[in-house]
Amino acid sequence: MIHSALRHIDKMLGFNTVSAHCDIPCKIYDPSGAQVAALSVIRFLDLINELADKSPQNLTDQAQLLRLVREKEIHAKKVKDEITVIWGDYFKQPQFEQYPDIHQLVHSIMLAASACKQHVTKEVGHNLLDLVNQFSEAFWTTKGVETYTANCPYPPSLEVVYPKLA
Amino acid sequence: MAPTYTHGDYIVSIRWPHMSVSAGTPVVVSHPKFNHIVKRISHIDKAKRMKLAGDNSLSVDTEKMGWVDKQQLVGKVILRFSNTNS
Repeated sequence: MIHSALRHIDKMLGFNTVSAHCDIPCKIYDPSGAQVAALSVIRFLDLINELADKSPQNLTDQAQLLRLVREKEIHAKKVKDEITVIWGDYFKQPQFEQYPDIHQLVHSIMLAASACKQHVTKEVGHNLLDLVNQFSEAFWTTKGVETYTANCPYPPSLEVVYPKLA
Repeated sequence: MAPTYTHGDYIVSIRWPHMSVSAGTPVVVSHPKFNHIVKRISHIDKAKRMKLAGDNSLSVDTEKMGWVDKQQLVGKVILRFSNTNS
């Protein structure tokens, strides 16, 4: 009743409005961006290693190598960005209680992504994808969404954790 | 700030000279980034600067809101008229 009366007065006088949210509550978080970026890193590692087997290398090959290394670094950084946004903005106390090891996992992903920038062996890329998949599984579990594992339908055709949405 | 305040609630906030606030006090703040917001004080330092927090786990992080000066304090929330329970 009081609220109703206040609403009438509000319509006449126009009270000041305050926000209780203070941010755009988009709630759109998805680790698939990080997974695709990790797969891209592996793909670039594969292509770099294919180039290494080629001898002699001409100018085009060298330009291609530079391009691949550059893209590998960009996508390794993208993994870091995608993961830290979900970890920093989505994960809160209830999710931390559900996954108390998530901080360690995120830190491991940061190190693995850096290793992908520093090295050109396939192993560093596979390790990164494995960790990002673990993160993805944890993320979907906190949302009550089941997951399954399947090979991605494109190179490098490796196992990826997907949400079971239907 | 759910469940303390929900969309459509009316609140009364007042600021008066020498008003005291402490951690836990709900306040209206004029924020440089988020404009007028209602949040709860989570921490006050020696320089009387405040950190804010929402009651809801989905609230924007305290660190994102940063330190708030006393000058930015619009008032202390002293009354609330719920959209559903009044």
